[in-house]
Amino acid sequence: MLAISIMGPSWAHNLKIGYKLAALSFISVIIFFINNWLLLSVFLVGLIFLYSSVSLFALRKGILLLRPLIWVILLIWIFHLIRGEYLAGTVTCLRLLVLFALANFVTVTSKLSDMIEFFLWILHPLKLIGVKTSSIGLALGMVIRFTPVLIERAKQLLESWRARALKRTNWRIILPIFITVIDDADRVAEAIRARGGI
Amino acid sequence: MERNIVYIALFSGLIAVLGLLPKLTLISGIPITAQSLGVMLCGVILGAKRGALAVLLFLSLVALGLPLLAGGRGGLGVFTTPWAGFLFGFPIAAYTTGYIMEKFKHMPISFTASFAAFFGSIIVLYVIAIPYYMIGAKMDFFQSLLTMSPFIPGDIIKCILAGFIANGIHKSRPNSVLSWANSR
Repeated sequence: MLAISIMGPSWAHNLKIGYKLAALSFISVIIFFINNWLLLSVFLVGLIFLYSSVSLFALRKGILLLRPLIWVILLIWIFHLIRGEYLAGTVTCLRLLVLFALANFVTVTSKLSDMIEFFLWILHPLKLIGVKTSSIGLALGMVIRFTPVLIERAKQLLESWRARALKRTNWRIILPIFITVIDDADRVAEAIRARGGI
Repeated sequence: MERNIVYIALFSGLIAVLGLLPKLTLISGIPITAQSLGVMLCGVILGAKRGALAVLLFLSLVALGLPLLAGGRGGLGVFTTPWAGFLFGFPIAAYTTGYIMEKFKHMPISFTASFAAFFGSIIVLYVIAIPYYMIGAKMDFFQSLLTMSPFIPGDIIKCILAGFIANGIHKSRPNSVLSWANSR
């Protein structure tokens, strides 16, 4: 399965994830309180430099990730225009753009395995209230391993539908997808138990 | 214990699968992604706690950088948009849906599932998502509602489908409907 992150190395890849996330939250809070469109534009230009400092590919990836947001921003801007709040609308949209691109920058420059490691480290305190963090790690691993399998399964079922039926595929395909996955789940649970359980 | 964890993990994978399916065109021709149907079914089949955990697991992986949201979106950025209220509301929606399922076991499952999905995954979800959008996009209530209104018919259809699907799962694999199982 494709990840959103791009391959390193770069200066941003070398930074520790904890620092990146701490910086992200700190800067995001500051940006949230900025109401000046000029300052926000400066941030936006800064972000372009930030992405390019990693690589041009990173910049392209960052812009690609922005695409689904365009409609959201356009809609918000139009609503503000209708109310005659040109400046407030522009500020809101710019802020959204900056926050979104900044958060994506961390994702783009961080390896999935490092992110998971950090996530599990953050969850450590849960042990104090009796949560088994090892099972969270197992569950994460299972989703990563099984999701491509499940997608493949869904594709096969859709294909066999098309091969046999005259009607176009519709929501009824969801039931067999669920049934096969439930059967898988029972077998996997059995297999884990047979190997000593959790 | 093993069964619970595997069910949580695989259902969280199912939410991803439903989001990545080619858009299902319904009778009326409205294309919808089935991702929120996945959230409903997590609550309906797994029950409150496990359903919410499956959704949380799914969201964690999205945040960590997997493109599992409908349209192949993912990463930390998606949690910064005004629409993120839906994402933050998903676990609560699944919990409420599952809670209702666990409380009403004496009615036909398709009816209970549709009702639970409607209350948990539409009413509760929008109660969270609309104020979030109002703050994030700096809009008033009616503008926010207007922005979201194109999705509401699809959501209502998904509730009905959740009922049919729950009924089908209950018929063919009764033991897998953890929200209705007697032992816990």
